[in-house]
Amino acid sequence: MKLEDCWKVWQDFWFKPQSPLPVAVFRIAFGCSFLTGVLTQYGHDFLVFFGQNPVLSRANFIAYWQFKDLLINIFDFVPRTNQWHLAVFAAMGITSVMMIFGLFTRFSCFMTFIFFASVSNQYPFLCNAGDDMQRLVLFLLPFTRAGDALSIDSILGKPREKWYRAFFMPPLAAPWAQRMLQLQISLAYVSTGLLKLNSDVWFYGNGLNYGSRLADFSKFAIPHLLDHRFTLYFLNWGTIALELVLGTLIWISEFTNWLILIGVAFHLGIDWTMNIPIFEFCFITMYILFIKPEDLYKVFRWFNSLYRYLNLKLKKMGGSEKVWRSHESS
Amino acid sequence: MSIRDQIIISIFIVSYWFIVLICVSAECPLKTTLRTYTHPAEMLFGIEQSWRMFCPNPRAYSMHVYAIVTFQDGSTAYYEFPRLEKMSQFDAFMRERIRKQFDDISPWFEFRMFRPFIARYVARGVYDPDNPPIQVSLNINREPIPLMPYHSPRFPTPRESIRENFFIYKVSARDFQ
Repeated sequence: MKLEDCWKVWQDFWFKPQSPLPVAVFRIAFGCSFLTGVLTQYGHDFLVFFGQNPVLSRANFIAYWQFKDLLINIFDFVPRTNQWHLAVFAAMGITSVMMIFGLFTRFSCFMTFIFFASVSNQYPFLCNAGDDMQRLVLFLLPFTRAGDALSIDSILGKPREKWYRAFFMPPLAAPWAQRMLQLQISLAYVSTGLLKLNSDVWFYGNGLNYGSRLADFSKFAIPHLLDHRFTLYFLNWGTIALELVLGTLIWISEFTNWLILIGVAFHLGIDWTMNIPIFEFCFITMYILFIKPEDLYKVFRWFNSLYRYLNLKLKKMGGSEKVWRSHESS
Repeated sequence: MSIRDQIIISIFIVSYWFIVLICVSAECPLKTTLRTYTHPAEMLFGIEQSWRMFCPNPRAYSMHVYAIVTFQDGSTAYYEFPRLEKMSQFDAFMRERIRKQFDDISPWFEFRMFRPFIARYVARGVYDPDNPPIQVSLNINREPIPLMPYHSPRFPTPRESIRENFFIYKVSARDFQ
């Protein structure tokens, strides 16, 4: 292989144009998951962590944890009062809504990142791996073409086009930032899979036994499944295998949709049995990035058919269906 | 996209993954050396990451943290940090972060420097000018999870049988100023 061939492979992977529809759908799903987190995770104990007299103050973190690191933190620039700190959260909620609707998409994604990075840096001990993933997504999302479809921006940007064409059929674009997000979730799975493989506890079948019996994480029961030795061993090693497979084989198109289904079931299973808010839904939404645009059009057409079947008087959508079909065939 | 743009983006991609892969790689002298230079960028851009979901070793016992407050007249009070297993599912969902703060952070040696602030927070919460608190002790109740092939049913969760004190804080008048 020549150096030129390597560059060609690199170009194909990062820059070969494709529809930004998956990343647009991802923007909406991720935004909803993120907004749910903003609305539910901080409100109850807001003053304990983000009030003007929190358990651990910013000064404590600087003195003992963050030292002289240069960090993004909007809280440093607003008065240290409950109202102002609440205003930062309110602003984060507003920019997340803008992100979901695709209004000034790049700007709203970027500002949501700034706010969320500030929250993470103001009180770093509240963050779990799901929050880390959310922060990374928000860092990378402004680089994507997530606002080119299913957004207010897409309609406003092409006032002369029919709205459904602008809304559903974005121009093809280089998917490099979407690839970054895909690689990011692959890295998370492979990294945790390898760490588990390297652990005596997981290797000898005790990881899931311990994890599923932590009283402070326990949620709903799955009758019998987690109360038998055989299933505990099976799910323990299955977890390691699945994490390694989800991080690698999901890139092979023949396996992608099946692995997405298995991955969704895996995360819903964890969410059913363990109380780890938002984490599972953040990871589930990231599978959307692996769905092929033509499969998403099929899903849209199915919803369109359902809509028409229910006779909701949206006959104009028939036109859009034709265009989807022509777009798919092209 | 022009070749110039592709090259600029490629430099960004390579730099990003260089920083991230150093961050998540196993501890070794090379990582220690390189991370000296990459860590500031990780922190500044918020791309620091560690994917240790219940690994390498998940906690092998159920536990909860509580405080015993001693007052000037010798009386004591039991202060239990919010426990998710005693809440409804909705409340547990809403308040998971408080579990993370008090159960996941305060007992571990790595975070020992923050214990005085937590103890002080408790002391301020129960402050009575006529009978001020003079001591706060932070404790943990825990119950080991049986090792496979022996296993216990998930529900009902067993009562914690082991008690340990991990920090004692002498409260002073300055703590209430």
